Formats: sequence, C-alpha cells, structure tokens
Amino acid sequence: MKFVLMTLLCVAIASRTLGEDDVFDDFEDDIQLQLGATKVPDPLESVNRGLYWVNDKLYFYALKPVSVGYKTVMPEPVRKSVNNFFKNLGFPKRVVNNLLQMKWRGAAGELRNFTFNTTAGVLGLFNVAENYYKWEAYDEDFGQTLGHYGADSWMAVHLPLLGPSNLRDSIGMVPDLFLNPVFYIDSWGVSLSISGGDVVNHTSLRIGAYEDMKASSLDPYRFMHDAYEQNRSKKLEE
Amino acid sequence: MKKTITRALALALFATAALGQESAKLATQAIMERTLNQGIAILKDSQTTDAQKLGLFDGLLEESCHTDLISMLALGKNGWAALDAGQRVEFTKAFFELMKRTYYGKLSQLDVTNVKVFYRDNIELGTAKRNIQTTMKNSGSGFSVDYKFALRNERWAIYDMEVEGISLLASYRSQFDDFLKTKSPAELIKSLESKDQSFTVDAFDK
Repeated sequence: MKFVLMTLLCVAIASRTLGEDDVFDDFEDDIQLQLGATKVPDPLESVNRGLYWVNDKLYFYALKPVSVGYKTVMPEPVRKSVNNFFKNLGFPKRVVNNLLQMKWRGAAGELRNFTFNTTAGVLGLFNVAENYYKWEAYDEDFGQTLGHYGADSWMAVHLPLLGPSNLRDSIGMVPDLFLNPVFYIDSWGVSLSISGGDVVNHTSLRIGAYEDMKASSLDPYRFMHDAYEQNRSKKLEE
Repeated sequence: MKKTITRALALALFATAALGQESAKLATQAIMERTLNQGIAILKDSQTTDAQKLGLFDGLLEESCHTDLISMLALGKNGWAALDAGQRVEFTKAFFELMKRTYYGKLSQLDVTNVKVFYRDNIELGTAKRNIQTTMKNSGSGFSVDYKFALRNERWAIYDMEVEGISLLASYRSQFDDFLKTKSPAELIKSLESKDQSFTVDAFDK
C-alpha cells in the first residue's frame, strides 16, 4: 500500500516538473507511431515527382476549368445526387472486399445501404441510408483486403491522373476495376466518358481542397504521400 | 489505526484521480465545443471579410491551442535544438500563421450552415493527454476529426489534430525533417513566411 501511495505521489510530482527534453519524450512515441505509417520506400521518387508535376498541370489546366464550368451550370443538389449515384455503383467492390476480409457486419451493412439507396433513394440518387437512417458506410477495397492479410505498402507510387498511391493499392485497383459496373459497358468510349463525368462531378464538389493542400505544405508531393499512407493505415486499423 | 489512515489516504488519492479524470474530460469537451461553435459562428458571419475572419481566428486558436508545444513537436527534438531563441519565436509565429490559414481554409470549404459535429469519445491518452474523437458531417458526407489535448501549465489545450487519420503534427514533422536535411533553419523560417504570403494571394481564389 505504501508503495502505491509513493508511486502515485511521485507521478503527481513528476508530471508537474517536466523539462523540455521530457516534453519531447512524452509526445515522441505518439508521433513516431504516426510517422511509422508514412515510412514507405520511394525508390521511384524522381519518376513519381515527374508524374506529380504532370497531374498538377492537368488539374490546373484541364480538370479544374472543366469542373468550374460544370459547377457554374449544374446546381449543387444535382451534383450531389450524381455523386451519390456513382457512390452507390461502388457497392459490388465494397461488399466483395468486406466478404473477402470476413467483415460480415460490413457486408450486411453495405447490402442494406445499397437496397435502400437503390429503391427509396431512386437508383442511388439520394443517400437515404446515411442521410435519413444514419447508417454508416463500410468502405473497403482490394488494397485494404491485401493489407488485411498482411501485405505491406511496399513502395510509393504516383499514378497518372489518380495521384498518390502505393504498390499494394495500385495492384488492388485491378480486381476492383472488374467490380465496377461501368467497366462492363460494351463501348470503351462510353465507359471512359462516364468515368470522366464522375471525376469532373466529384472535383466540382471539392474545388479548393487541392489548392489549400498545396498552399499549406512545404513539399506538396511529400505531404500527399504521407497523408495517403496515414489515411490508409487508419482504414486498415478499422 | 496506521493501516486505516493509509487506506483512507489511498482511497482519497484514487478518488482525486478519478475526479481529475472527470474534470479533465469536461474541461477538454468545453474547449472543443467553444472552439468549434465560435469558429463556425465566425465563418457564418456574412458581414465580415476573409481578413477580419482570419483576425478573429487568431484569438480563438491562441486560446484553444498550445502553439509553443505544437511548434516544438512539429520540429522534433533535433530541429528545435538547432534553432536559437530568436528563431524559435519567428518559427512559432510563422508556423502558427500557416496552421491558422490551413484550418480556416478547411473550415471555409464546408457548407457552414449545414455542419454537424458528433462526439464519439473522449479518451485518456496517458499522463495529462486526452483525445476527443468526433465525426463532422457536412451535407451528408462525414469524416472523422480527432482533437488531441495536453495539460501544460495548468491549461488544457489542443496540440494535434487528426483528420481521417492524417495527423497535422506528423505531416509537418515529416516535411520539416526532409527540409532540414538539406537546408538551414533560417531557410525553413523564410520558406514558412513566404508560404503565409502566398496563401493570402492564392488560397481564396477558388
């Protein structure tokens, strides 16, 4: 009992007399844990940075002007409904990857959300599952499935048009592509136009986010990849 | 008798610790709510300009954040040690300005008339540290925002923020580490100051 008392008193005193070094020590573990997620090898950095530069120019000279024009003529509720529609189309990918990870609750939740959004939500134009019933989405993809079974990020990859990724998630995009209903449209032209429309619509709802990221970081390329890895690490934990 | 006194003291200490936990929970929750409510109120005010709003954010964030601690931790032990006293002040000022503009930029992208914050949990992270986990919902889409609090000099305040698992501190630490591998602390401060200026020009041109 005396030992417990002494320990408590020591902890109480120590916590009030922290020096600068102690302050760093006190917080360093948390930061290193978070930083650990971002330590992904980047052996193709020069190529990746080149692709980042190309994507950056494509955003400012093509995607942003088109999205701003689209935003001007298309009211926000319509753009949100289009976004909901495409999100609903992602159901096969989400449900299959929930099943592959044996997340039965997630798979059932996705099936329930898809059923309600497709019927009551008029083919997915309205996200009644989230907005009305407050049911959460269980977003999973094949990159997360690979991660769930222990696959590492392996190395940083910067994809043309798509941006920051890693080798594991880039490989994961291939099976996910086969789970995208748009992929099965006979005409490649129509399929690509629909996918392009989705990108423009999505961008029109987020204009300013990329600009803010660039303005607030010393090295936007590094920031994007660190943020990507931290975010993926969190998703894998869930 | 001696045993009874010892037990009573131990009980009192445990009770104090439990009460301390509860009061820490309430204190951090109150700071969180005040910061968010005032931040949203500032953004909602259509009578004020962006510059005036940023000025109001100054006071709000000074009050709710450990700006000195955030600066120290973002640079890390070695980076901080490489700065002299004057540079530390300059760095803290420039970095705080950048964080303020970043936070303001993020909040101003939301449809502020339609923002809802749901508190998920308020957990202890260790000695004098807590994490308030929230979900921010805006026009149907939700994202997680965690606010990390530390008790320093008898004051609870925010020292890190995680949006969808992306930590503000870790992101800047990584960039500062890279920067200081090839450049000097003075160049880092200059670079942050020029970022603050470019923000003024570009950030609101959306």
